[in-house]
Amino acid sequence: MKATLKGLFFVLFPLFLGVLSLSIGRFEVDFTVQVQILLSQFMDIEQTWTDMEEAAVIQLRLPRVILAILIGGGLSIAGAALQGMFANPLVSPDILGVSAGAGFGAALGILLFGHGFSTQIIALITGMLAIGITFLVGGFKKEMPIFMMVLAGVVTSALFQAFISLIKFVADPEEKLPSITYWLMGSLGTASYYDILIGAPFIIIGMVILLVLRWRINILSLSEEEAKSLGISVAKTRWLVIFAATIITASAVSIAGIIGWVGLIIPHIARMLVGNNNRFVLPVSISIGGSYLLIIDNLARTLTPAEIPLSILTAIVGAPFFAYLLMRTGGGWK
Amino acid sequence: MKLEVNGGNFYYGKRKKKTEPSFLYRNSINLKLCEGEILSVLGPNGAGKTTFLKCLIGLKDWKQGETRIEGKSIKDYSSRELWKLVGYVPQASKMAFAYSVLEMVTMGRAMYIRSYSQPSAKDEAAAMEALESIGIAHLAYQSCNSISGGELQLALIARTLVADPKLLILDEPESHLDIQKQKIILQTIKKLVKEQNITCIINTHYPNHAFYFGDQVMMVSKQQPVIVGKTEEIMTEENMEKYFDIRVKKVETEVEDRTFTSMIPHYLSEATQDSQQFNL
Amino acid sequence: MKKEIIGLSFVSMAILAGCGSNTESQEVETTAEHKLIEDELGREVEIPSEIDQVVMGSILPYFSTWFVATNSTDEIVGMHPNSYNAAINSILKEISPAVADANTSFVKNGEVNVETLMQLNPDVYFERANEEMSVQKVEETGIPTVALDTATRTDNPLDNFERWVSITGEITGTSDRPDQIIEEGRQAQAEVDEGLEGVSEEEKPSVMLLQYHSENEISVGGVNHHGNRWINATGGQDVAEGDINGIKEVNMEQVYNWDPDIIYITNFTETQPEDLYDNVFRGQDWSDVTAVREQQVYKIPLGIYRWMPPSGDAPLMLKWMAQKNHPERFEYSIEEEIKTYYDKFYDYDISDEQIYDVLNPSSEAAKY
Repeated sequence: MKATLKGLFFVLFPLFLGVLSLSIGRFEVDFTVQVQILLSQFMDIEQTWTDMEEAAVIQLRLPRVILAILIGGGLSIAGAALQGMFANPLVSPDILGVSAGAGFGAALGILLFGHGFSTQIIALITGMLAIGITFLVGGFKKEMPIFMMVLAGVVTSALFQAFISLIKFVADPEEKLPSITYWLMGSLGTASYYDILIGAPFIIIGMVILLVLRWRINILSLSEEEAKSLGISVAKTRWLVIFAATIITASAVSIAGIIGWVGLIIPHIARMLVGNNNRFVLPVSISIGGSYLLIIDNLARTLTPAEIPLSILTAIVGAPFFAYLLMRTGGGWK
Repeated sequence: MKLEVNGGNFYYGKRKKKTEPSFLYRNSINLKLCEGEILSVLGPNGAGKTTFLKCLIGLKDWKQGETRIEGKSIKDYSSRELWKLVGYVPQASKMAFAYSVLEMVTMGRAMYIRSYSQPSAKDEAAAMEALESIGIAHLAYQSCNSISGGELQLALIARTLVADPKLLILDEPESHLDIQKQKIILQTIKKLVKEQNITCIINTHYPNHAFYFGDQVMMVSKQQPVIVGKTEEIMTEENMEKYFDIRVKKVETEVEDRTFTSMIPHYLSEATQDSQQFNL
Repeated sequence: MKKEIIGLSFVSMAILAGCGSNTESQEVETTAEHKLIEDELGREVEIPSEIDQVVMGSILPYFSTWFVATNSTDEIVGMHPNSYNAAINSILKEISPAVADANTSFVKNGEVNVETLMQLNPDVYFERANEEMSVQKVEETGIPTVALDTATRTDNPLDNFERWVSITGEITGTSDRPDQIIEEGRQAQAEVDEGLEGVSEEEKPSVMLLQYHSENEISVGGVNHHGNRWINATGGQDVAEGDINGIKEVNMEQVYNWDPDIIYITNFTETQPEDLYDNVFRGQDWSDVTAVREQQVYKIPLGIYRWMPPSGDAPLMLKWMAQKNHPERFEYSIEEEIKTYYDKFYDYDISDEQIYDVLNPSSEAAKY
């Protein structure tokens, strides 16, 4: 019973926060008005508000809130799955090079085709390529030591960061460059229903795959032979997890740019709350990660008239928190 | 359940075209085990005991020969079928994210749980039952990293039991444990095997444990051919000197009306008289 | 910073000197073959008395200032590829076809290749003041390098224009024409000021300058941006005045919050007023913004260069924007103003069609 209540809380909290976020913004919309506008989408309510208020809530904030929850939750479950699978607390899509890889693909896509489906696909391919390189450098073994995996990820990230710089270098400094530079720092500033349409399916598919496999990830965290001896197809399951984490990350990156730290920090918070069993860590990561990015994005869009890039805020909040974790645990994660 | 190995041998790396591969074992391995029988595998470090276990159950592939279970090659079993029959207990080690003992033991049900589903209450009940049968139910909700090495080893044994295996493979389950914990582990294994009529193969460093388990012994060493046979035939003073390069004395002792055999290394007696000499 | 202030004070002195048609101070320093010029980094640069060949680096709008100050592009043997594209796609190519002969190969991917630059053998090289590395690098090869500052510390939108025109005059050794142009600018400002006399704060329309815009970006200019100076000088209220410094990305909600009466779109972006009227951008609903609803969205014109930065057409920009902000107060025909200006300073009889193109620049222009 207690567990059910807890589960309900984790489902409802981001939703509650999402509704609340609809009344926050540079443009003032009263909370009660906001609720009426929201309800009027489903039932007949006499319009007492301006068209602009309705546009702000429905056209601007709602897609943004949905994407913040999806992307925050997606990056977090991807991080939790990778950390769980590799039994490695330092792993995340950023650290394995997926973010930089997908970032390069997305930058290339934006340069060639603009934002859209093709960019999603290119980001996905380069994200996969990046994680492939990380494993190639690291030696492809599950028993790859932690430092080796992190180093391999650093090398891959550096490589793709260089490619990103190359794109910035050749991009038109007046028109395309400011756009790419800004986008890379992470923003949901121009989130639209179209972004949800092209990005959400990838993120949701990835989430579903990981949620389905969440208990198997416990087994994958054991040594390779131990996992095999429990009767699961280790290689297939592992690649499926990596694939799911990569499509989530690639899709998030091509919609909102590189948003660091979320995939690394949130799973740790989830484990503090529900223990190490990935059966619970993964769904709870979606809830906390979605709420976290939503709060961060609310700050990004309201603190100043100019949009603040998300990765600046996530790092300012994330880095000290991670430092605190390191100090508290001595890096042991027992 | 009948277990056979026919002509098994292994080498590391890939076979180079011209040179003859350097096999790990001097001769190919043949053995046959019946239900309720225990085979103890003895040999010095690096002789290939763990590799033998892994090849035996298909975690590594024999480079020649095969393992047959109930007369059927393990290659012909589906992975799920095979691991329902075989329980593998690796050496216990700490993990980055520790699960609770119950969660760990529940993982042993994996081959009974569909890929896309989660363990049910029934699976957890089975895990709890296994913990009880092995006498560590009180540890169910403790973290695997906070219990002792012996308790963790027992939990890993419990993890194989939830799948109801017919063949139990243990890789040095009693190493790194104090003698009291060793006792619990050994008694538990022997009891399980005999009660549930399981076939069991166990790697060990302790010759006396091979006597305790009885049945069959396999001896492996880099310089000697692999030998398998009845415990009394294999566990001789001569073999110990050949395979372990150590002189031992086989003694029979009577304790509470029961006779048991054990081996005492010679140096233990020398040590008390002349500690200056390092004569092994 | 200190250097810049020194540079600025020198320039203002030069302007004052220029106004009095008294160039004695320069003549003292001038020898038969060389003369000393102080650039906008406050450095003394020795340049040949006779200037036949000049090259312009990343100081993109300067070629148009050069042209208005000298009425010639014959000397321009090299320019930044971005400037070049803008020049040959503008009316300047018709007015002064020689501009098309300029070489662009010395800039590759935004970097100056000094050796290629040396092959062009310029008498003077112009560079942006904050590109100090480039300035230094070119200087070391012995090419006289004049740094021009794109920033300005006054509210006067014509400040850059005046400084650059007068320094061009110093370099070429002519002061009549630059003086005349500066005077034209001041007259334009005086005319605008007169027209705006008595305008209360409430009467001023709220104005937003859309610098970069696409489906994924809404970037506006605020204080310390040329747009802000144009707006303030022409009787508008910049919505971003207290909120934005330079160019910053904002979200649609912030635009709602500002709800500008007029929106100006620069030529650095492909977006056209019709795009906002038609509401074609996904995720951005412009239809309720006052400027869009009342069809008060304007693309900033493109004459011999984009009018947004300090171009050779700067005095016209003042008149154009003042009229858009307060149509009832400025009853001149901007077409006539353009015709007169082009005739007077470029000796060019601009056709009605060409005037239309200046006032209605294509989206393509963002690409140069």
